[in-house]
Amino acid sequence: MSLIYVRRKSDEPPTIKIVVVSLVVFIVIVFIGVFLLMLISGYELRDLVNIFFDYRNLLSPEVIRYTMIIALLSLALLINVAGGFINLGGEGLIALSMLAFLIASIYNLGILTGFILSILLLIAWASIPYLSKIYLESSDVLVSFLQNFIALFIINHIVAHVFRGELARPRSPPIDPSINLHYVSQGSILYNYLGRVSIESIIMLIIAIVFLSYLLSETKTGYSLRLLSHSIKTASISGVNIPRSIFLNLLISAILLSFASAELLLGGERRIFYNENAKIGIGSMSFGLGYVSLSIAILSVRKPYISLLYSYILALGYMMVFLSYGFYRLVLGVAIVGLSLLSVLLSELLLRYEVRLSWRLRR
Amino acid sequence: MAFETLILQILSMGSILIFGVLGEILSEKSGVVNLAIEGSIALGAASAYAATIHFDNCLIGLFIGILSGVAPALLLILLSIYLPLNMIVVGIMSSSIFSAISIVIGNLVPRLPQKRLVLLSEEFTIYLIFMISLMFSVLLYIVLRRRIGLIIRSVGEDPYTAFSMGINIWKIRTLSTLVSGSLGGLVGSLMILMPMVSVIWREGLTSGWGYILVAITPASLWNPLIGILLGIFMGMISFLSIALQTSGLIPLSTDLANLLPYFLAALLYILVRGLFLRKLIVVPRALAKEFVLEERYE
Repeated sequence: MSLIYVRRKSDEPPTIKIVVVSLVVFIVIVFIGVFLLMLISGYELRDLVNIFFDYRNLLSPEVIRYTMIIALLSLALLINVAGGFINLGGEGLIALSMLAFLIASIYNLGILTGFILSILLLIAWASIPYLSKIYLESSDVLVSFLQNFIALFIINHIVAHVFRGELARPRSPPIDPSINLHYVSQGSILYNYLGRVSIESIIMLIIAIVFLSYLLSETKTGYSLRLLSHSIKTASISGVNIPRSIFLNLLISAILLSFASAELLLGGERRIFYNENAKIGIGSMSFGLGYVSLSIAILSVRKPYISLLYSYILALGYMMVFLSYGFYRLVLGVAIVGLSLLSVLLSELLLRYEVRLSWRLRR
Repeated sequence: MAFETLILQILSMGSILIFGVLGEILSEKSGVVNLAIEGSIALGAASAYAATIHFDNCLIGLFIGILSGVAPALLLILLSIYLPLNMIVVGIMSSSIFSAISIVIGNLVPRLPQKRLVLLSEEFTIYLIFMISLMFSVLLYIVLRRRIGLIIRSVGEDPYTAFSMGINIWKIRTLSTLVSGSLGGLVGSLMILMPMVSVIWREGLTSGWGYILVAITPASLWNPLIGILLGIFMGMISFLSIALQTSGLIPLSTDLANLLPYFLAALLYILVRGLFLRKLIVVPRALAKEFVLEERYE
């Protein structure tokens, strides 16, 4: 007779245990999944091992660039999660933020206006699921997820009809060279590692990790956010200023998201591409980063600095996606979203629940 | 476009969506939000297509499509019903993994036009499937008001009280989610095989319909008879967007037309769930809440 024994552990696991368990699960689930899918796509196991374990790939500028982008996105969504808002709308938010930079480029508004426009747009867009959750009791996950499709189709309409570039395939015109971030110069010793990452993003990431770790664990605002995530009623009775907490949450998240999308747009092709997979809810530029960042955010909500480690591992996973070709690239892109979510769920299960299987009938 | 053709198109898409809404109503009545239905639809469509091409028989394709729809639901059952993990996140995770698998399955066979499900004539088939979906709605309506329906509703309202009355919560939730998953498989299969709707399978063909179904289900007030109207309404919307583009009455790009069902689903969900349902008692109280007992004996 089957028996599943499930008991929620009363005590919070130590940090080292959280790191080790979630890392092991993350690596096992994501990498085995991606390895299997890539093997189906025709890669030899030897090639895969060479790609992954080549030290030049492990610290290549592209891996470090994606680590930065994923880490910034994760921290942006982490503050949402800490405030009780499971924001699955990352893909749409990245796309809208890029639109803000495109508008700033087309109308010669400068990068600062681009950032301000992006922050305002993101606050307005993300407030829909958050406010409807708090005041209308609807599911933030479902609404923010549906928003991805809406945002991606809006961007598609804009790049195909409103701001269409000169090329035959629908894509935006290139971003004006005046809208740019600062990069390590080619002569520098750091160029071989940080050549593709902007200095602004590195500074912002360091500030964000320190600031969020302090804000969430040491300040009254952090306490208010955590209370809001626990129970809106309790937060209200305890005298928490709910609108202020919501605004602060969305503002910090929007600033970090804007930096992440600026890095993605300005450090890459410098054009917004038509989202071919908008019907799957995956953007051409972000390629599922909005979803995987949420899984990192959930995993590292108690310790924001852990997100850097997960981001690095996922950046390596993404390199595998980019190295694949044809329709398998799409398969891997979709699969990595599910696999990273699965790793989060299993880590949660192993860390916070005691689960035992037994075939012995106890009465 | 002839009026009769438009009606047939709306009925064909509408009856497909009715099955999906009914599946979601059944699982939500027992407290399970089946977001894995997106994966069921994707896998159902790809499997039905591959099987129809391989066996050159659309009935086998339909059968395999329905069966394969159960797989994403099984993952949801394992992680959210038997283990206490967040069912919304599990649903999206299951959908993503099985959507990826569906792309692999759909590409196993050569990209050829598949046979359509035609019994006597296309019109007769559409009316027949529409009648079956109506009968299924009425059947579910009756079932939910019988003793078994009372058990399902009690599990969705207060699983702990139901458990103390001797009801096996896991069994009820598992069965309703399995039925919901197989109906998701049916939705995917029919999107490939149904006359007037059927097209050659391609990646992302059915994407988003599962999430739309979950979003519009609260608007049915979990009543299968209202579910019929909702299915037909969404069927109308899906063809309205195409009709608006082809007629040229409103200058609407393909992208904005594609956006319409998602926008309406989100709007309908926020308005109905937030503004109206909070004041009504029809929302299953244990909806999307995992059931965890410290120890379990079976």
